[in-house]
Amino acid sequence: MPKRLYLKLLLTMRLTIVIIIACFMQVSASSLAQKVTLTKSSASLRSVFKELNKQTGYNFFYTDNLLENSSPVDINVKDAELSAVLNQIFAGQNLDFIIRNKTVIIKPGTHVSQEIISGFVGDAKDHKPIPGVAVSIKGTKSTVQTDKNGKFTISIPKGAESLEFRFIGYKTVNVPISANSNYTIYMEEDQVSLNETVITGMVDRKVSTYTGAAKTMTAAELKAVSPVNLFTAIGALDPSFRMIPNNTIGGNINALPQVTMRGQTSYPTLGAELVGNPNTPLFILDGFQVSLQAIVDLDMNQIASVTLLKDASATAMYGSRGGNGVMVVTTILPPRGKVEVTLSNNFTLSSPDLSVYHMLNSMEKLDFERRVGFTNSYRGDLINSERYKAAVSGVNTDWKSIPVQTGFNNRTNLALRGGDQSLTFGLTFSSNLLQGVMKGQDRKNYAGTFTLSYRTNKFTFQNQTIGTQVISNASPYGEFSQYLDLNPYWKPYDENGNVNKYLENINMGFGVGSSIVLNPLMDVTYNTIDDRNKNFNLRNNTSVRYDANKSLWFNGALGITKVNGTIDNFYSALDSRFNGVADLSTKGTYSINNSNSFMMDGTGSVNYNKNFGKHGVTVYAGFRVASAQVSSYTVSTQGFPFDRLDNILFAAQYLDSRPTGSESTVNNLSFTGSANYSYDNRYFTDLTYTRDGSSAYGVNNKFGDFWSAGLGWNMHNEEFLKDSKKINLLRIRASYGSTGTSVQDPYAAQFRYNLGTSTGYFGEVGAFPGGLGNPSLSWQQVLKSNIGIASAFLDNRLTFNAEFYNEVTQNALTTVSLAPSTGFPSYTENLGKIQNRGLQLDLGYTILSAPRQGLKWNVSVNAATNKSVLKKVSDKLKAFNAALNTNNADQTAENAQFVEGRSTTAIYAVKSLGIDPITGQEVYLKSDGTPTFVWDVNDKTYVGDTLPTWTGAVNSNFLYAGFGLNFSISYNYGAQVYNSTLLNRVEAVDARNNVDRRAYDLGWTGPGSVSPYRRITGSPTPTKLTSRFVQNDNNIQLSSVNLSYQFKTPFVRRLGLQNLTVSATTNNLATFSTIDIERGTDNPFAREYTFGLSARF
Amino acid sequence: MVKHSQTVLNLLMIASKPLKKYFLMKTTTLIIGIVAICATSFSCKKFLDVTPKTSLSEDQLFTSEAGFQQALSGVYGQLASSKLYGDNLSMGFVSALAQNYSTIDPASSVQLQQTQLLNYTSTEVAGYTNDIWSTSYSAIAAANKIIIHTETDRPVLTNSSYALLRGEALALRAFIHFDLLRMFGPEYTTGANQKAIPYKKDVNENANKPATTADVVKFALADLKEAENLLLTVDPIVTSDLRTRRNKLNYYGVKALEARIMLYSGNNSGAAAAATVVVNSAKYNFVTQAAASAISAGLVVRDRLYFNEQVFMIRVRDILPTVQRYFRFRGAVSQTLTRTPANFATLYQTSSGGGTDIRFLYRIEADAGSVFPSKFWQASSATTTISDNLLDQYVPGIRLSEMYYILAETASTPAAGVGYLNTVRLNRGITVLPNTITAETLKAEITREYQKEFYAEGQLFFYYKRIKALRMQFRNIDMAPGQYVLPIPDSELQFNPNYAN
Repeated sequence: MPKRLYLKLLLTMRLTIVIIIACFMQVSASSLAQKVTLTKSSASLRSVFKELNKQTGYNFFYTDNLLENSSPVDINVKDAELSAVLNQIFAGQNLDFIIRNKTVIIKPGTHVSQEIISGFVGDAKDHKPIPGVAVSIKGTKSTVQTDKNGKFTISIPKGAESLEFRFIGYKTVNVPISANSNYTIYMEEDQVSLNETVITGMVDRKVSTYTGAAKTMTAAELKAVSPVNLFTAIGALDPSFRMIPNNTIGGNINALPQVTMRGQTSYPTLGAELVGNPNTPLFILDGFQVSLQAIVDLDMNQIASVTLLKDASATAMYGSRGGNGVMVVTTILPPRGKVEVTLSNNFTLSSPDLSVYHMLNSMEKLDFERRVGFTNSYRGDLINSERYKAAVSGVNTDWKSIPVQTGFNNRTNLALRGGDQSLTFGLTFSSNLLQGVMKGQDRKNYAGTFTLSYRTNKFTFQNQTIGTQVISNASPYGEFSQYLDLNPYWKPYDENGNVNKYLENINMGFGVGSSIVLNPLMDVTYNTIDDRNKNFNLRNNTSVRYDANKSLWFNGALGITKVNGTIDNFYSALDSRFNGVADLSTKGTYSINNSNSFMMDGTGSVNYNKNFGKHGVTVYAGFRVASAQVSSYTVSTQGFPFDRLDNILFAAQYLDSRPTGSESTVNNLSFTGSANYSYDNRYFTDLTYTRDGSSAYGVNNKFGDFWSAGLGWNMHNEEFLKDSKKINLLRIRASYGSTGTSVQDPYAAQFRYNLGTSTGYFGEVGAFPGGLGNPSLSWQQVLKSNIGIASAFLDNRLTFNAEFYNEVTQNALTTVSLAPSTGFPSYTENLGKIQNRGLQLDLGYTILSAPRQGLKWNVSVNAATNKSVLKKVSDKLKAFNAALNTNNADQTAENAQFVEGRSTTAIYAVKSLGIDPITGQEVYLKSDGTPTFVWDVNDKTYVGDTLPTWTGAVNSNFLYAGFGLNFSISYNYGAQVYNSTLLNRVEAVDARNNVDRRAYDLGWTGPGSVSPYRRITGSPTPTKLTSRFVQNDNNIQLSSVNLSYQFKTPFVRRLGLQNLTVSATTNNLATFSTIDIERGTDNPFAREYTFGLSARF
Repeated sequence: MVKHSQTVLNLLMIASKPLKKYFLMKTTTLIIGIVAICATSFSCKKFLDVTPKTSLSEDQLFTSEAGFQQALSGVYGQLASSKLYGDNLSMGFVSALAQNYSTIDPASSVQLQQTQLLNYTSTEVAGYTNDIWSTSYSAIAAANKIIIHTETDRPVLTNSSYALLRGEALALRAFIHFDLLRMFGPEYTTGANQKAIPYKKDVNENANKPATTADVVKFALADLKEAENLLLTVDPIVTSDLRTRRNKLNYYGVKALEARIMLYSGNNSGAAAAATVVVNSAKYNFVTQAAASAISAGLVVRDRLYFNEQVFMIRVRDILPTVQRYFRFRGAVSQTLTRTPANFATLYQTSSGGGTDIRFLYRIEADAGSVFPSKFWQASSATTTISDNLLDQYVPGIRLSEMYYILAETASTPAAGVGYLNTVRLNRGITVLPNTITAETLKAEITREYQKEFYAEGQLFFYYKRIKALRMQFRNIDMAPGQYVLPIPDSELQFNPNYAN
């Protein structure tokens, strides 16, 4: 088809459409002569058209709303051509016209011609020019930069609406494009206090009149510390958030970290009655409660901000959930009026930190064995000679390096976000492929998010769907520490690189015992499936907001989460754990654990926010209905003769006669009311009340009441400080209130009956009591008081914040043992009392600030101290303590003890006076102060606490011309630790295993020898719990160094990019500690080196 | 609570429409609002009442008669578990205490060595006593729940099921407490006023004060009295000959238990009266020679338990593995629970006319050339269907013969007493005793009967205790009186403060 025909057809079609549409609208049409004479002033277009129609006979086609915004017409013509008249009429209008077949068609104007705009950008303070400001037209890609005099020139296409001025360190400015405006823009510096609001997860509050203790961190701040580990980053920025160090799991990527805020509100888990870790804070992601795992698996590139809510004012809204503090995470929302694509990639090398291990080499170990006395027998001598042969032939295996690797981790996040003023969308894909520092340990995390938001002037509707798939494997190499035990003169592989089945197989014959050592690496070759975890998580969050007017709005939200997970474990018959099992049908096991959970969380709220002169009022009232169901079952099978038959269907039989599993449902219902009143931005108060009900509570206590009251004073707004240049901010606030934590088993409050054939009788179904329910069981009430100061001095260069708090858990849940004559072994009760008291300090100083040169250097120091004290220990718990001691009369490892006035993390051991130089025996101090050689469990006393007195971090943030250098040093002071790894590797060593270099001297060697350690012999006796191995653990850690560069716009523009940032980060680079302890016994800690690339299109 | 939901919902309902339209929509909104409020306030309480899916809450269970029945079956099920009558209180622990078996090799899979040596401080004995103690009280707690709920949920039950359920639960409470008393409490005549065991009547976390022996007896008899009154009119066994009722603590079981307890506490006339009720009921007949000696095929086996003599018996569904572990010959006598042929000959007095005793002839059988007690020898497995013909999978609770022994012991004259004893002897295929024997001889003969009759059945040790026997048969050392009292488990002493003072 020729092009012309196309056009014509199109025109015809257009006209047809116009006509058809016109038929449905108000249409004016008539026909007459051509010359026009017209005199009108301030006449409407419609009346002018009518007149013209009368005179010329031309029809006028238009829709009513097209003329709505037209300006009145002034015209005075005589015998003029119609087209000239029309041109004159339409000159001031944003309208256009076409004349066709005696018809004038009116259409929206397109004739705003391309314009050139120029202007000047300066600093709001001193009006000096700012060079290098990015000036862009919103909604397009055209961007220019200001020159060294702050001048810019940009050509504006038709339809452009506004200009955007961007510069690092300054607030972004948007200016609408209007005809003949004078573009002189003064940009304001972006102050440190960029967080104007506190996001509480329920309602946003102005930080300037909020009495709650809350800390908000932006994604940029967090990523500057660690681009891959959220908790590490939060810990560096706010020391009240603490990751409890776990020396056993080390850097295991599949292990969940243990986190707390402001200490521990609960007793440690003693039995199955408490669920999970009872001290974990509440996690709120985009308004909905999520699990710790969901936060761990969240891609950091999705995060917009993290807010920690700490005191009663901030957490009372969460009622029985807020006692441990709340961490509110928000994700990035699609921008309005533009579309952007961001791509970020982080590549991380994680290498095992083996610097703390100093093991003996082959020759040293043999010498050690000889001195211990292993060669003093015919058998020992023979074994020694075989080993010596190996050692001289050059065997010196570095066993600790065998099960470890340098992990390659790759995180990619691709996001497409944008939309117009009413409809926005966001589409995000992320993949997170991790390798652990143990070989075979991996974690693959894929996530997709789709967000759709629609806004009319009153209604906002938003829906977000998130799908996450995680596949992880534990290392088939097992515990790392077992490789430390292996002797260096053993060879793991033969000449051809195959795994040796035996590390040592010395047979002496003549019935003399031989030495056989199996190679643990052999099991690794058997296609083992070790905790293969597949987890699929689907979340859908819907929210509706209705703005009745500017100060009143309503929110409704519904979140639904479905999680399905399986954990597989497979060991074939060849695995060494089945050595000695003869029956082939019982060798080899496969078990599958399947878990399902479904969570529903619905909220509704009314919000009111208005200022009446000097009075500001904010009111929130809401309710929440939530339900969480979790169920799981495990099927275990056995009989897998061959290691390639790695499917459960190959099983010969079931391992246990029946599947095991669990089920729980918890329903929650709560009503929250909260109000804030402020006067003149000087005095303000917060009041919160929450009534919270849970199905997990006993019938006598179905509902709990939680409340808070807070007062604040903005001293800097008072007359006497208002104009002070030195004091820019001085805010004092205090709050008191009650929150709670509910950590009990969902059914612990109920008297339950188990049914089944095993409890049946004579063909009848039997029901038998499964647990003595406590009808009074309820939440743990945490009474929190908090005093906080926020201040800024010297033109906001110096900031100082302090928080002092006292939190008392009134009725902590504990499991108490019962006399068996009650019919039940134990019972859960609210009877403990725990106090946490602490102080948190935050000092920041801007050393350099020259935003025009893009130069900024901030240094901040923070410190936190927390003292956790058991205020009340019940008689039943005291009995528990006593039982622990009497049942373990010879203790070699520390155990939990509950002593009034001490913390839950206290260490108890018998005081030691050291090793007697004459006898080589340890001298203990009895509780009555007399020395003794005899270890007695009753002499155990308090010798330290694993919780540090002070923790904190020093952070430095340096920015210059697109370069960013950030480092973070964290420190811990005043903690003690029972150095059991030292004990097991240096003193109570099994000399058959490899030992630490410090054991080489064998400890005490004879009368007169002075040594901190007892004598090492071939037949060691265990070292009983002694203060000798309690050491001060003060450490400094270079937790993060981050270097980044943001490319200047002209360069990246050529690549079609708006923004390009590259970064390099290293985490856990170095640790300086007062003690020498093996870190990461099951899994070494990792040092991470991350390279990041982030691009926005 | 309702108030709150109303306020919030009202606000929300108002809010759900634009304000200017609100007044127009007022009526509609109001209706929706009211409906929503009604729905919410109605379901609020319900929403927070979540009941477990893998178990039943107390409130759910006791809403129907079937639930009561299940709870009661649960108590019987616990009684039948290996920690009580399924093993420890029958063929296992208590029989080993009574020296029913030869010395067990420490290498045997049967862990009863220290028990036979009466080494009460050993972890082995402590393990058994702890199991018996805690399982018994656990069953008592379950029975107590039923007793409490028969009152609080009385409307759920018909009159007859109320009487039956409550009666049985009360009787079970007495039965289990009495077993604990016999084991952990002092012998009655010397220790009536000594601290014995807690008599639990409520279910809570509080440990009760241990009652004295006399009080335990008093409480148990009171429970039995109430049970008896309830059961007499409603128990089907009184009016019919329902065999399945023998598996439950039926009316005659209650009377028999009463006789047993009264005898223990020295109330001879009361014991005799109660035993007479059982004997005179004519519900229970001695086993016939033919049934006891039957050589059978299939499931209908030789009646080794003397089924028709069981006043109360406990069905142990999974008894087979226990029995096999205990009695299956494994190459040496010391590997399993048995005695030498000579011991069995002594026990049944084969040299003085006991050779014809059916208990010896047909219940001391040979397996792989070695004799063993076949009382519990099983043909049925856990999956065998229950029928009236099923003669095994039972453990005796109270036998008819015990009633005759009680009557013999409590008879006014030895001549009267020997008559009762002779009834049993005749039915066991041995000669009658002359009615001229002295009271002393009668007592010795009764002891012999207890030894023969209750071999591997668990009653013998308690008999020895009651008569303060100086020596147990096959044990060559005298008994110290304290050895008849098993120590209260450590966990009870530790967590029950009332034991301390």
